[in-house]
Amino acid sequence: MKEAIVIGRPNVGKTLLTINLAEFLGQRRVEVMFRPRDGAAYTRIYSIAQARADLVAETPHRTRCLQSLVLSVPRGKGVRKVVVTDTTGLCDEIHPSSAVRRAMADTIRSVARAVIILHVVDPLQPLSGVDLDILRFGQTQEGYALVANMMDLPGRAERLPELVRAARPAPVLAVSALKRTGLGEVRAFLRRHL
Amino acid sequence: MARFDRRRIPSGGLGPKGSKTEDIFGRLERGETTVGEALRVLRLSTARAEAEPDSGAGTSAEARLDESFEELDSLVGLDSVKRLVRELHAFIVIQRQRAREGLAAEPMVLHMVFKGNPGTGKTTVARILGRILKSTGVLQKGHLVECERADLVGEYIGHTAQKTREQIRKALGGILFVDEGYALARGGEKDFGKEAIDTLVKAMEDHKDELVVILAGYRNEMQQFLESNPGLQSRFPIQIDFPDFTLEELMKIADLMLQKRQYTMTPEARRVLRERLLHHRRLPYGDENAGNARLVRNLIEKAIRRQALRLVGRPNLSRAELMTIQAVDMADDETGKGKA
Repeated sequence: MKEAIVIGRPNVGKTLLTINLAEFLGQRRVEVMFRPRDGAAYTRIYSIAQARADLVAETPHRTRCLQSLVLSVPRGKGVRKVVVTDTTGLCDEIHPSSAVRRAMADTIRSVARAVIILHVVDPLQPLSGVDLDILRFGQTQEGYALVANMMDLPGRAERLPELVRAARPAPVLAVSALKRTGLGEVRAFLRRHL
Repeated sequence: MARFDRRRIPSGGLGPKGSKTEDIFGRLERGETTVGEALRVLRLSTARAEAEPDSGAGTSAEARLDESFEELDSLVGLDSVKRLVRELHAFIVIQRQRAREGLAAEPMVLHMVFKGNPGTGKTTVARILGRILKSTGVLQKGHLVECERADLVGEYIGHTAQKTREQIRKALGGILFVDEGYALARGGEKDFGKEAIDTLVKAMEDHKDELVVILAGYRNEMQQFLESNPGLQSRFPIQIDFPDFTLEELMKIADLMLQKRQYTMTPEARRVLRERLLHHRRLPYGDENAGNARLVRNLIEKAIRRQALRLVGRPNLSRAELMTIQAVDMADDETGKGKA
């Protein structure tokens, strides 16, 4: 099964995007596989609402290990399955917590093997540091897209043209994970690269 | 969900490149470097990996493709068929590349007609073809759904379309293999078979990208069938002839079959088998089974059963005895002798 990963800075809405995308693709429940470094991987089944409540937080670094879920993306009359891996937020500096550092290392590892990379950003923050590094890496990859999240919030739409210019030739998908807009574009992108 | 595609980075320290990237992950974990630095290393190493594509392990799709071609090549005889399958694969690959370059690409209509006697390898080749099409990404699943008239044609009005669509649904993403395809036109104008053909043709249009239909059957009957339905010829642009196997090829098939089942035959048994196969070729009206791998299989399976009957109850059987097919096992039932 091909793997798609969702990466970005802490608190840009990676997990919410993943869960709401699952819902958008018609999933009522999600089976999430956690892959902590210390201990065996385990799976847990959530309803969409539960997943949102349990996995999404307003503080950074709620996601401490790779969380994978399998999504079915309709393609023609059939479906293709894809493992979507939600990752730990990446930051510029060396993080003091070894657990977070480990999770980040796992995240970068999964970047190396993913076929699809959804790079989530808040358009209000100019691309810099780690975001630029992800973008530059992504521009060499076929299945990379820059996901401009939080489009429902003020000030974001104005910054979009700038992002599109910076991302070229990679595509920019404008979404609001919270308001669930633009998810159709994400689906179309997945479909193209599965 | 445990298997991920690891085509970009060889897992855990394989070769210098693998260890280099592993190294950066370790440093990242120990807090010796930043995420940005790790990503830069990664970008450079994947750029290098792409520049020298043979250094890492091949993609699993490629490995599967090689396997499928190997399997195809291991089939006895069928040289023209093998060539055609290779042609087809090359055609798909090149059309894709042309499309990527913005050149006009031929539409990929891959519906086929397989013409040949029973037991000449039509189903086997179809199955391998399914895997090849899967590996090249034309078909999502590449599985084979075998059906025949009875699976497609219903008993009352409206029933046929329903049954046919059901089979098509099962075959989506793979190959719908209609055995004895000509039988669909058997009953004449009022027969429901015609409805099955219409439904099939419509599905071939609707599911252009996710269904390959193969109609298989006797050469002459298929020829008549296609000629009597002018619209069909053009919808099945690929027609593959499966010639009968020659006597030598049949003997080779016999050897392979026995080998697979861990049996051997004595030279006398070989001679008897050869004679029996020859006998089928000499039958008046040309026995349709004469050039047929199924005939060989039946003869061999029969011989295996008769060997078992000969040996059962005997004490102290050696390994060699258990493995050997003798002339008496291979002989024709009716005469009980070595001659057919």
